Amino acid sequence: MNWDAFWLSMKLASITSIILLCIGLPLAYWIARSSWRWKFLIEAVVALPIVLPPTVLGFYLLTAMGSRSFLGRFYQEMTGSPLAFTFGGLVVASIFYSLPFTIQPLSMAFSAVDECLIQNAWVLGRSRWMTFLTVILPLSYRGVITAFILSFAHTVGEFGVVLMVGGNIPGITRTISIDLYDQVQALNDQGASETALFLLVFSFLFLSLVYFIDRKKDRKRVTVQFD
Amino acid sequence: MGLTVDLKYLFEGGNSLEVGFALPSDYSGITVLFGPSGSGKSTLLHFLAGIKKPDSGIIRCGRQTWFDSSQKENWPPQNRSLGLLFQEYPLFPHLTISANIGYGLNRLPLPEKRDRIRFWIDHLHLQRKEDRYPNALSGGERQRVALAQTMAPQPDLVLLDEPFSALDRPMRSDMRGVVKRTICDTGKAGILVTHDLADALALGDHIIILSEGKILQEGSPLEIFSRPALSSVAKIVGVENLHPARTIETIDGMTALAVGKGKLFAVGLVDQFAVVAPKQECFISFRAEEVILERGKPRQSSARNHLSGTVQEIVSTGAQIRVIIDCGFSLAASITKQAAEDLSLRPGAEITAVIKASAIQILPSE
Amino acid sequence: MNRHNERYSRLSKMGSIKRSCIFLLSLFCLFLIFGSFNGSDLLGAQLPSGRKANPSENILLVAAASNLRFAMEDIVDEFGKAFQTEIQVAYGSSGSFTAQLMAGAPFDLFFSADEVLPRKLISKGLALEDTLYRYGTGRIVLWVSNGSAIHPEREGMKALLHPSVHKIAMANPRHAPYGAAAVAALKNTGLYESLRARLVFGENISEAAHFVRKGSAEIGILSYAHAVSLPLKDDGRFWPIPATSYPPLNQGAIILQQSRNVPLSKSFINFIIEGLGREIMKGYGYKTQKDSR
Repeated sequence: MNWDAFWLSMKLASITSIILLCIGLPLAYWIARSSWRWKFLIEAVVALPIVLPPTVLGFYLLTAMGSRSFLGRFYQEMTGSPLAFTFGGLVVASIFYSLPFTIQPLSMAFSAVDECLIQNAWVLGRSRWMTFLTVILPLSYRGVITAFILSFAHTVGEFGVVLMVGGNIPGITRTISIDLYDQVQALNDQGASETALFLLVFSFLFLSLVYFIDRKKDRKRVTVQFD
Repeated sequence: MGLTVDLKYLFEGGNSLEVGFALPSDYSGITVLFGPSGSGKSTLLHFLAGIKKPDSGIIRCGRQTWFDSSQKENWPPQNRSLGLLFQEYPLFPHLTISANIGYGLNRLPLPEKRDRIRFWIDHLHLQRKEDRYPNALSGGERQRVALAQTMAPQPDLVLLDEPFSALDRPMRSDMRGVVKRTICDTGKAGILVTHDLADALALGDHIIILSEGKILQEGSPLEIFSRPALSSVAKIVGVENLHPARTIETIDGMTALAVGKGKLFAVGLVDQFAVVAPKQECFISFRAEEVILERGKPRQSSARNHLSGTVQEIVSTGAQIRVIIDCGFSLAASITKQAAEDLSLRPGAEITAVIKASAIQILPSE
Repeated sequence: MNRHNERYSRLSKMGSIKRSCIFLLSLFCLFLIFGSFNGSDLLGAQLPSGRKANPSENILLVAAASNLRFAMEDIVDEFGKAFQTEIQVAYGSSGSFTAQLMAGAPFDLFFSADEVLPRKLISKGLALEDTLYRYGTGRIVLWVSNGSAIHPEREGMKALLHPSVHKIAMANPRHAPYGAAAVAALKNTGLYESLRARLVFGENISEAAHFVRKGSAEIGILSYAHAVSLPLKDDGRFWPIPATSYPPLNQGAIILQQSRNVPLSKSFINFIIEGLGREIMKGYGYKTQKDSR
């Protein structure tokens, strides 16, 4: 069991999910509420990472981040170090890779909020921003949790993109799923099984915990009418 | 607070809305936008609130110009200082009743906000419900919370979108009184949208009749319902017999009313108030199907109203025949073809119309 | 009334459990995040900056073709002992490594499974000087698991025609050199057309080895290095396919332009083509030669 790789994956997944929530909340809100006629194009672009095979997505991300591309060079000049093959590069790649898994549940939850409630908040004088914070977000609470879980889990399990963009460098870009793949490649059955089992148990516990927190929130609201 | 509205809007289906009206600057009280569903009245409210944007036109409120298509002016709802009581009472399900009432009060300092919430909770008898969530309330309670929520920020103009349509009858008359008192006591102006005649007559100080996107007529309730527009309004409402009346006296729950030159008895429990005061202006309405026609002299029967008159007009409407009778006022009756033949009705014939007192509804106009 | 109260208290108890769970979860996330900021900055390039801090540090980062895995592990152990250095090896497909190197992957050395890709990198000016070290020539073998009725060590290539052979596992010839060699050997012995429908392709040799070990395929064309390493060594028998029946699997290594420790890289390559590493390579079935190029 490679603990470095495990912690690296956890770190990558939590940072990615948190950044994704920050990007995803406004983007999903825009997707859910905008009536721009070309919106469907943006929606399609956001969903594209689901379609592309991860390795291929990884290849394009690598090309974009590489020291030969404009973006890669720009980043290198700004920060003095290249983006690809670093932890930062992994975060950027994971954000692209898991983007649809954040956006879809969020925008679904946002569009499920009754239009009337939003208009009511506006008429009561609350700005769009405050309406988002005090009405839309609390009512989309489940969507936010689902988005977080999905992007976290998806990032832990991501393999092709990380392998391509990260280059399987021990301690820096070798995540738990790459480590597992490496062990399988080395025909190290026992090590691979241990890692896989650990990963499964951990993920199961993590997901159960999150779903437990999310469980039946409505029940709290059912108070007694005739007392 | 004066209001000037002149708007045009083309619906997706091809219907259009073209509305212009003005309320004087010293105006307070409730203006009713009355019309059948689909006449565009709710849309008009949404334009006023700034939730929807009309194609062109102008909305002025006091000295402010809320919307002016020629100046590309369009204020967001947040800036219009109005209240909108939605048809569905969209209370925030994740907030308690007090938080719902206080939702629009975020700019007030906390103690003042607390006092204001307390006032509305007491005023609308919501004590002991403050910490509940909207799901745990009955329809009437939800309506009261929604009203408190709308009124708490003390808007200059209150818009009410079919506020009683989700309530059952007894609750409705109750809430009418509450709404009327709440708005009139604060001296605010209200605009109420409804397709319920009782709402319009009970609450309206000024009535605007809207049909198919156009204003048919506007005026005080009395003006509206006693003039030629009556027939088209009656058509809109689906009640053929709608007449201004004056109460004479009420005895044992039975009210005698003067209608035109005739006299009618009605069961005296008006929608809103337990007893109708004498000499009160009101409206009566009853359905044409409720009228029984008899040939010859009035006979003894359990029905309280026997009106003699002459047949003025006979209109065939398929299986039914509509008979217009002059009996001091113009009364419409609906009978079967067979019955019309048996009575050998023709214009000018003498006839007696019989109506049960309980079939007549009294609509107060204030 | 009582029931309601009970229910309320149950609910509030549930609430407190939930609250503590949320608390734990957020603590966990915070821990992860602050842990990650500890020491090195988040988006700064940890590897290059880590090395920048200590340019003379004895660390080499090596990209190696998957087939080298077994030999390389031994070599790294021996080299580390002899030179007091740390060598980190990433294994993968030579094609991916080439793409990554073109994008600026921070490797010092690249051990490819062929010579074409290193040449390509040289021509792009990514490798140090115009040097290509042929560090070994791979071999392919027929491999069956222990209980098999097939006996390649007696029957040679004819073992592939054994009636119990339904599937033959090999690496994908389209991009894995060892797979291409396997197809060449089949064509050379005239078996390709008749066996064509029975071929199954793994992404690389390890995957092909899985097919045979787990019984999905009855026989596999694998690398010599795999066949003599654990676990295949204990699990089955093998027969080396004569080197004359397929083009030589010459494997080339290059030192990359951006290498921060060229002398150490050179000594590592020398260790493999001349030193103790050469013996290890031989032990894993690679043919070696002294000269580069």
